[in-house]
Amino acid sequence: MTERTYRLRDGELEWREVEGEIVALDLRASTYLSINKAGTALWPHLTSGASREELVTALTSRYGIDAESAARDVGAFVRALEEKGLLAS
Amino acid sequence: MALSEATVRAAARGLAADVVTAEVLTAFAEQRISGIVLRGPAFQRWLYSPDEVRTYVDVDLFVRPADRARAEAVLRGLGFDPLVEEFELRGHRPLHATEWTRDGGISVDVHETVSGAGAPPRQVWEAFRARAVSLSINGVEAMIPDAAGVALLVGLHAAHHGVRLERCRSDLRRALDRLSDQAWHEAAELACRIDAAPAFAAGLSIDSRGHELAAKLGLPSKRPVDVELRASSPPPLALGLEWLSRTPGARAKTGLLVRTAFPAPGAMRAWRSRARSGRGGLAVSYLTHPFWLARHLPSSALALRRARRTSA
Repeated sequence: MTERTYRLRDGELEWREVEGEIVALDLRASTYLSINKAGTALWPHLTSGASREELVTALTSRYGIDAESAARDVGAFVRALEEKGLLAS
Repeated sequence: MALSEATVRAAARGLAADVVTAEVLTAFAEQRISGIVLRGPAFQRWLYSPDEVRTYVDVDLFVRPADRARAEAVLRGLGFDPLVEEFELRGHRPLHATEWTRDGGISVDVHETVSGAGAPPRQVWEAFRARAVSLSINGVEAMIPDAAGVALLVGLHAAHHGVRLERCRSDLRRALDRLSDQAWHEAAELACRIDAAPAFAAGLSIDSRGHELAAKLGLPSKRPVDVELRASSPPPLALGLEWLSRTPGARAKTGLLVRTAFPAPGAMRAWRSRARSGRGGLAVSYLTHPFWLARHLPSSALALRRARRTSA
């Protein structure tokens, strides 16, 4: 079984980095949101597409946290993005 | 520390404005209509670092005068409507830009010229077009003014809104900090070319450093009454009174007074923000209009008198 690639959806989603955090505008839902620093570290990986393992590695290497905590944070983050419909299905 | 709600909202609003800018410029390009993006992304490019936010809530497009009618047709095709139809402002002070709105979202200001410029719109357009540089806005190639053009616009914007608008003051402070001497000298030359030197000087002078710079650049220290008045952020009727004094003939003056007392809906919406909030807001604005006029008339007359004295 191949591992899932997480990627931000194409179209109607705009963002920019402000003072080290991502501010995103979801034009489909007419909502905006700010992404915290950990999420901002994951954001470039999600624009190009990354596996869960790659996302976990991105967090551990950026913040020096253990893999278990990073996996928990990545899980929560991608779930939140999924709930908001921001990930490609 | 997490971003404040205000910063997030400002950034989101800027993103939304960029989306609309790209949409409109794409539609313009299909019809071979030329436009220069004033302020918004242009100020962001020259006055702010990439991760700083300058709040901009609308889109300012300077359209080549010859393309204006076609540009308006394109905007109507995209679902925009003018806040004020031209016939509704007949006899009032001419506007340098027309605001187009769509479903209460981001509005587009179509500039026929830039505020404070006395030269014909075509000459103003040519001057800005000659100096325009390219910037990608949401993947769409846009023209924006160069550093000197932005320096001039910062000054003219400050002259237009006057000393009380914090955003103008902060843009000016940033411009004074960040733009080179060469940009300011070229801005002064550009101002002379489009007959905007008095307004440019008035705008710079809302800041003490800007005031010194205006003198160094050899800009005029005496300014026409309307320029002086605008730069003082006058009460709502002051500019109208000044326009009334310049309107020739008793008949035209009477006409202007009647239209001010009983304005067309578009003119009412242009003057009073409450009138923009649907039919109810417009009705309330009409009902309270006599009181609004009475409330602002004395302070407006005083402001005009002060500006005349300073200008003399």
